[in-house]
Amino acid sequence: MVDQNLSVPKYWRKIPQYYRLTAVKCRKCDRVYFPPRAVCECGSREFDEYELPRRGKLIEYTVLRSVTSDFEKQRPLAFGIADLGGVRVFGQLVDCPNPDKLSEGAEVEVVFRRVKEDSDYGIIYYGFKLRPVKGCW
Amino acid sequence: MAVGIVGWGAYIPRYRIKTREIAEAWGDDALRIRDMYLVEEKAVGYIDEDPVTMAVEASRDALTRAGIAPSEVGAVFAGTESKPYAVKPISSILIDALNLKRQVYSVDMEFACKAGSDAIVNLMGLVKSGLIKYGIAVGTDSSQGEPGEHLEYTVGTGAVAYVIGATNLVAEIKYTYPFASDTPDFWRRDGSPYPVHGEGFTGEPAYFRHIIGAAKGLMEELGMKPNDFDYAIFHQPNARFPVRVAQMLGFPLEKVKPGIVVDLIGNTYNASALLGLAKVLEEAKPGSRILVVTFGSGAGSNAFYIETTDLLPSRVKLARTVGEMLEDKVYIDYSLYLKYRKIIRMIHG
Repeated sequence: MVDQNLSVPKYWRKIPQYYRLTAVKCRKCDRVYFPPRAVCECGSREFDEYELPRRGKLIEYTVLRSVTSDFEKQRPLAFGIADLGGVRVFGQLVDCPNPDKLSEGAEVEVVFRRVKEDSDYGIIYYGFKLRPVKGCW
Repeated sequence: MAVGIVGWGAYIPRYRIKTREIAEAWGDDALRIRDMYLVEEKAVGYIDEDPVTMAVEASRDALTRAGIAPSEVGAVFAGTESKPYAVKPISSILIDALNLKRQVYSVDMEFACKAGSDAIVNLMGLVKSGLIKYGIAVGTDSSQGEPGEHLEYTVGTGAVAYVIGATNLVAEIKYTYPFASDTPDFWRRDGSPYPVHGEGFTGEPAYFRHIIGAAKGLMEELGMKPNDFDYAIFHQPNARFPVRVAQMLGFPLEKVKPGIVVDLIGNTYNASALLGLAKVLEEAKPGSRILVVTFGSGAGSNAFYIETTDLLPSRVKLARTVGEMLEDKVYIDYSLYLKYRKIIRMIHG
């Protein structure tokens, strides 16, 4: 029996967000929401899909040295909040072998990476991560 | 109808390992190894990178350079010999990652290192027939080299993507010529973690015979000579082979050197010669005539006669260049290499 740790339907439903950072933009007030919301703060329920820009600035970050068993082999893990066109997005920071070199305000780009996989035989979950453009080493 | 390249994109991971570092781990003479293959270092994907993620990165840049909407793409073909899934396509992941429409012809192709170039040929046919307006051809690989074996010195990691169409061309593909046969030079059996070389078959009966067959066939049919080309780009399993095949065909070194990337990133298999082409497109002037010959073990080659247009220079800076990615690197040691390539097998996952 193959382990199925994360529900496949749950992953499949969120592919537009995981793969492309698909947000929604309110037709009335232009507010952008990521992840998408059903009702805008202005009360409107009418949205258009809107892909967030793939470059932005790192606002805040943290480095985890104790991580869950799925990510033990990738320690230390860095996570950050990036400003992508005015929208704050939380994501893993990659290609950063020396997280001590990270700095707030650093330019980051959105990259497409493996996030997790269910053992050697289950599904591979792909999604976005954030990468410092100038690196950190 | 003129068909050709509308946009291109490449992806090279940030991590590199030097040939010297691998040689020290296995007690080889690093100078001798470098002299054999002329490979200084190779690109290594991080633990979360694979042919799918690299294909997405390269394709995004190809679409950016093409300046077309994803909805205009009618086909996406991915050439690879290192699929993360034995059954489940890369091309369907590309559809959603690139936001293509659902009405897209999509398939993964395999012919060792040649399939990416077959993707281009197939898309040319679909464009010419009017079935599609644009198509994306991808060559992407993170292939296997058994630790301690010589293949480990050259097996690199990378991807390249081309948007093929008939309008707004940066380079017209004026002619193609195939040459293929059943030649057992290199294979990987189903379920086997590492490929095997057919002893003595790698060079003359495989690489040289097929590349020369395709290149000569193309030139003879068109009445062209090496002098008629500004650049010649060949599949590059190491840096010695493309230089030698160029000499055999009569191309001077200065026409071959600009398209060689293997010395700095290793053999990227389905991306190999096509990544060399991407690098040449970054420096070629309009009206440049380029010969590209790919090669896949098993064995076969596709030769392409490509001529750049006036639109080329303005598209170069629209996305990451191969030149920039060759410079953007972090060196790792052999232990990190084993970890990133998942060569260390954990008993408990």
